[in-house]
Amino acid sequence: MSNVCKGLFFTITTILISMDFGGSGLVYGQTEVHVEAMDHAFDVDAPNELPSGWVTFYFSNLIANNTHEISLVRLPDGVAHEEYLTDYMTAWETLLWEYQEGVVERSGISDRVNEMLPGWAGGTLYPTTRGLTSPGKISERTVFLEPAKYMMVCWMKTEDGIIHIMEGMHWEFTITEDTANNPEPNPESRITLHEDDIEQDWEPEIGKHTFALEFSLNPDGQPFHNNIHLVRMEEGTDLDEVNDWLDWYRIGGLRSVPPVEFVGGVEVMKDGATAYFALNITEPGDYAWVVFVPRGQGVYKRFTIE
Amino acid sequence: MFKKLFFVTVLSIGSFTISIAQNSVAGHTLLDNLSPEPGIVEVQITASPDRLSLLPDTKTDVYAYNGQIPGPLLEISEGDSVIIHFQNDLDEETTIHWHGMHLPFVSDGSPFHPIQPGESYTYTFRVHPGTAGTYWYHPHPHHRTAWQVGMGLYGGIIVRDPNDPLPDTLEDKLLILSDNRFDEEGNIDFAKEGTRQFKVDEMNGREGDILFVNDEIMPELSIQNGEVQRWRIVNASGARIYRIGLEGHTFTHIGSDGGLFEYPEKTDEIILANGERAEVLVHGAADPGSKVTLQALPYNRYMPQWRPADWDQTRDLLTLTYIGEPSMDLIEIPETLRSIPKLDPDEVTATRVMRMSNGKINSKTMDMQRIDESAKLGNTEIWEIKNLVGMDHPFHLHGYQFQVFERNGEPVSQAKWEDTVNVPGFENASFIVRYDNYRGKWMFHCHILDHEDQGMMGVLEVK
Repeated sequence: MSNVCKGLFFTITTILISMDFGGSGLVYGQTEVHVEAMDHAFDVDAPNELPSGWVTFYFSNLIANNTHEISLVRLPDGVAHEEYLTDYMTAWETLLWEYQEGVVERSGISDRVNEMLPGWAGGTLYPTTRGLTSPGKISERTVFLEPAKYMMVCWMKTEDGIIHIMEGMHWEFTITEDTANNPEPNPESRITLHEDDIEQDWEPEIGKHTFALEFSLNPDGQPFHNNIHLVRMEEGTDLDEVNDWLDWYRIGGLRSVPPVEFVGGVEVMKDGATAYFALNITEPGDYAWVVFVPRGQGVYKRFTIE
Repeated sequence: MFKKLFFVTVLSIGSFTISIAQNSVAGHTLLDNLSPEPGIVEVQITASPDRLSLLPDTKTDVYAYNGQIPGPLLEISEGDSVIIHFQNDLDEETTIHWHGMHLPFVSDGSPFHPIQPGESYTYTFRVHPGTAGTYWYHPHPHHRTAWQVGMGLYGGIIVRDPNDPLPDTLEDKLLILSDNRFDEEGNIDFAKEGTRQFKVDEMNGREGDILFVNDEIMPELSIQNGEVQRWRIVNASGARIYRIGLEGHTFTHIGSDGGLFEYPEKTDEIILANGERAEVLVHGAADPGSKVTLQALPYNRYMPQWRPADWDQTRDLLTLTYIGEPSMDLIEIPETLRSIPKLDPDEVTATRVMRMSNGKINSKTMDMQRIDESAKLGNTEIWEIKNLVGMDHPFHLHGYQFQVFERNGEPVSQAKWEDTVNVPGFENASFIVRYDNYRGKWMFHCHILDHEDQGMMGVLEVK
């Protein structure tokens, strides 16, 4: 079992060893954030201040009854954590309410939400999101975080259409000017997202697996896709239905109960950056990588684990 | 013990001797004791729909105990045997929960013992030594508590100590705080399911913009300069947490849910979460004719995303008017009020962790068929209450008083008996409890009544 794997399954405390070398602000050791999903909250075992560098989020969904995710939000300078929950989220919650009530059409979503969002909203960055993890699953993500204020949130929706953030599923933290010297992850496998294909150098099998997710670019230099999800299929699973469900802007999108079991994955909002994630396959069955394509045809790769 | 507060007329009707209370505590009508036997308190309570004046010049459809809001005061003493004949004349099932009292499971009035419309039930319990204090009663039917309390079902309980360390010359006031919301016709206003306000009430708990002290809006109390009064304050609101201050005055905080502290504490403010009680001494210190206001100061108990726009508004509760000449009575407040035996951490057999999110405990909602926690009678345990979300959750355990010993890893100032501990957003608190005397299935829950009704509740079975 790799060190990361040991961390995922057996480490329950945050390991953060800070050594001060003449005020260099250099922090040695792994920066780990252990997160347990609840309905609807995060139980986090980590300090609210972390050094900049590679941070690994261990996400356990063993107690909750709903699928959850981790979205990391980098706030613009000068914006307080609370402003994200009030000014920013109020706009999205209002939009969702109006949309579900039929007051706003899908085509009018952008205009309506931009009317309501605070001026600083455009400076909000989402370094990584999703990594949908169903009940009974554990997933993991490692991401490079620069100094700023951050929120960890869950954008999933309840059965009655309330965003989990509004239910209380958020945690605020700050990445300080201190620097952690954690090395960039060195995963066992690479996945590259092409326009119509998912390329992988991985032999699927039961166990813990670590991945680097890379993106091929279109002629404009933009990635064709920005996300991947591993799902476990049941007989009759329709992956197009899964793709539709992954569309947050649909009324039933990302809303409990999902049509399939999610094992893990990641979505990257920063163009072209390699993403690192890990997941754990605990049982044989039919699986598929799903690359969500908004209002289009998803990209899938099916496989079976004996 | 009742000499200052209580005058009794004895009538004989048929084979019963009925004692009728002609006086009251701070305006609270006392429940009539039907028993002539010393040490036995036997009372009758009926819950029924009624039409009462809560707002000026307006009649409102309510639920009431014995036709009153709040219900009549149950005044009992340590050592008493209490018999309460309850009649449910509502159109829905209900119970009466004797909040904070240490009593048998079958008399707890929890959702396990609903009383159907038209039916009656007799609650019986003994008042244990050392439990003198301020308590209250309210309904506890599953999914309907917020509604029934909001409609007016709540009342006070005072348990007297025959050897109360405080002078019995102190004026004793019982202040039951509640709030409510009304529509334009004066009807009690509950948000309709599916509306935005319904969701706000689900998240925050239903708050009202009209605040009541007992049955009045902004009542007036009087005090003399130099006088000391003993105020017992109950938070009977479904969701509002009170941060209480008296302009220009300092309270001497002397008691909590389970009675007197060991040591009085001076404080300018008291925070009283839902279901909690406080006993304070108010020291009159102003000239005759002056008036001061007891206020509910702004208290931010909300998640930022649901915080009401007017949360930071100070709200007035009552006027305290200075009357007469300065009091020349010398009141001596003991430095030690009583000895509270500290529960011993060395005897702890288990630690239970309760993780609270909105509407759930440990990611579960209440299931009457499920036992969430099991323990042995007589065991001592620690409960660690973690609040994982950004609003306060007052955690209430039925059946047993406990001692909070730590908040956010820091020890608390002194051991107190409590049955409700408020845990602010993203904070935690730990208490130690011993399951004495009574087996049973005991509820633990958030005392924001809307959260309780959503199922933010579990069952501890003590065997």
